[in-house]
Amino acid sequence: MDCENFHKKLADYENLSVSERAEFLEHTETCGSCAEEWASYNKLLETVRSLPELKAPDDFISKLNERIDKEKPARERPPGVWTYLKHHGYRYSAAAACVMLAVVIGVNSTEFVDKMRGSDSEVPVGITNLSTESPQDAENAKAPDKTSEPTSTPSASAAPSLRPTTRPASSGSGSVSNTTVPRATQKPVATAIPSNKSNKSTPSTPTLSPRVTAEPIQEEYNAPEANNMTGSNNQPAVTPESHTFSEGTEEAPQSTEASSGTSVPEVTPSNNDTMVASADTSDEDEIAVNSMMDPSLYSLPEANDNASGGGSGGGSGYSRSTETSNSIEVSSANAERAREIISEYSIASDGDCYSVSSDRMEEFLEAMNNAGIEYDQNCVEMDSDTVTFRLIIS
Amino acid sequence: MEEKKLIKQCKRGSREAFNELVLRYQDQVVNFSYSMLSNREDAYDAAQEIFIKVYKNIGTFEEKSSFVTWLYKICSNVCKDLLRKRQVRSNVISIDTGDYDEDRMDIEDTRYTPEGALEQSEAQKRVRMALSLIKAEYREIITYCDIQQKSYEEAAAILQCPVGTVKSRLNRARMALKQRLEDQDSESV
Repeated sequence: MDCENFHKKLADYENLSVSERAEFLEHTETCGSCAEEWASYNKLLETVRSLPELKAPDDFISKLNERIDKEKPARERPPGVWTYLKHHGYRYSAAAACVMLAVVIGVNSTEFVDKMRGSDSEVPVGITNLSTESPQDAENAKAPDKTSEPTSTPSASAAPSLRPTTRPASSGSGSVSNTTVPRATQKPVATAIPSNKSNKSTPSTPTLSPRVTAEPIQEEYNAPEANNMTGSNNQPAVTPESHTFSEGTEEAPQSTEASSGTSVPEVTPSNNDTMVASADTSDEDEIAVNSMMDPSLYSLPEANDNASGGGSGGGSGYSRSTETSNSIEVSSANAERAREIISEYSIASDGDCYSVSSDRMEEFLEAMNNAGIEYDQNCVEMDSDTVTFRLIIS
Repeated sequence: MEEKKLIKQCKRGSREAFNELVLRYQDQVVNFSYSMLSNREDAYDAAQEIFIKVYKNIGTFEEKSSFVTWLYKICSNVCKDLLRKRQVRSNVISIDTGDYDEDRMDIEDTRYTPEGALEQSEAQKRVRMALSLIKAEYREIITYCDIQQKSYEEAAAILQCPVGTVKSRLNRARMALKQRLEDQDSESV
């Protein structure tokens, strides 16, 4: 080791390896100046390390506390928490923001789901009946405004079971679900059976059973005349005593089938007269009431007397003594075609009972002939604007 | 009481715990300040300032390092601030040597000379004088490693530098102090 290296390693002596230290010390033994320098350096270090320590005065703490008290008052609360939040609050604010966002999303999603559920209940009732009803009926169901509100009073029902069925959109009556019930009589309708004042006859056939219904079923009618009857609960002057010739239960399937493609016309105003007429008679009222209560008590005046044999041909002079007495019988092979033709001319129907305008009765029968349908008609021409008959399938 | 508990209580605002901490470290702080400032009164004032800062900022102490390390960082910053203020007030004579302050240097002012200091021997007085004339960073490292005899690792933690840097800086500091003493000897002669 030379003197230059010696001076370089002088201050770093403590970090020298054993061999380097040996070499270093060996040089001091051979070099006088380096030896003095080494001695001087060691003395310096010894002096520095021996410098006396200055200690704090006895009143150091007291003075310190005085100065602290003189300055701004100390933190009222422990600095740890707030200072920590001040310096690290960003961590928690981000987490809080995420939590709030999740809560908002959750609340909104809940409301959205609730709204969706709520909207499901608002599905129009009529929509569910489309599968079993005619498109026309579906339109009727979708247009409740055109029909009268169902009421609980029988008086709200019009004449002979010929009511447009209404399916309120928001009805909760449960009528939506029952699509198997005959269209016209999902709920029995109390309809008035047009009858003359003088008609007091027992029903020839048990086909027309008067029923009192709480809610009238209204359907749109093809006939313009029926428009007067639509859209209101007040079926034309229907009295509580009026009857319907709604089908019996045994007729229900047929009525469903028959009415599937037809619109049920409403009772014409002429029926009102009849019904009014019938209502005017207290005796008939009584009969009507009794009939409503007990079908077996129902009597149809002149039902048999006025029944005419009626040939197969398009007989003229059809009159209607009573609805129950009028009938048209066709073979089962022609039943479907007959119903189609009937639906074209009928203005009201209830099961297999149909009402045709008297003016068009001849046309109807002619259409039946043209279609090759053999029929036996037993209609009694009445002084009324409509002829109501029952379609009998033999 | 355990130091960690004292610190926790200080964070909660316990003056008693703070005073306890002060009592444990006041001598070291004062001594460091004296080494840096070479004046007793200034050392006392600096120590007060240091502990006031500790009291105000104890809440920010995250305890990632030891309390001593954190304390000495404050000591270093306070003393260097005071040195800068002193330089502004004093006339500085720059000496074209690498061991001295590059821009300015404290002149020998009776106020700041170690006269009346604690040194009992001439050698100690001379060393104290020479120590006051070298760069602050040299003064600091010598105070840590030679005067207060901290380890290289402790010094590295305070200075936030590698241990090798501490060693090299210490070597330079010692040589600078040695050189300064030789110059004083030559001047006195």
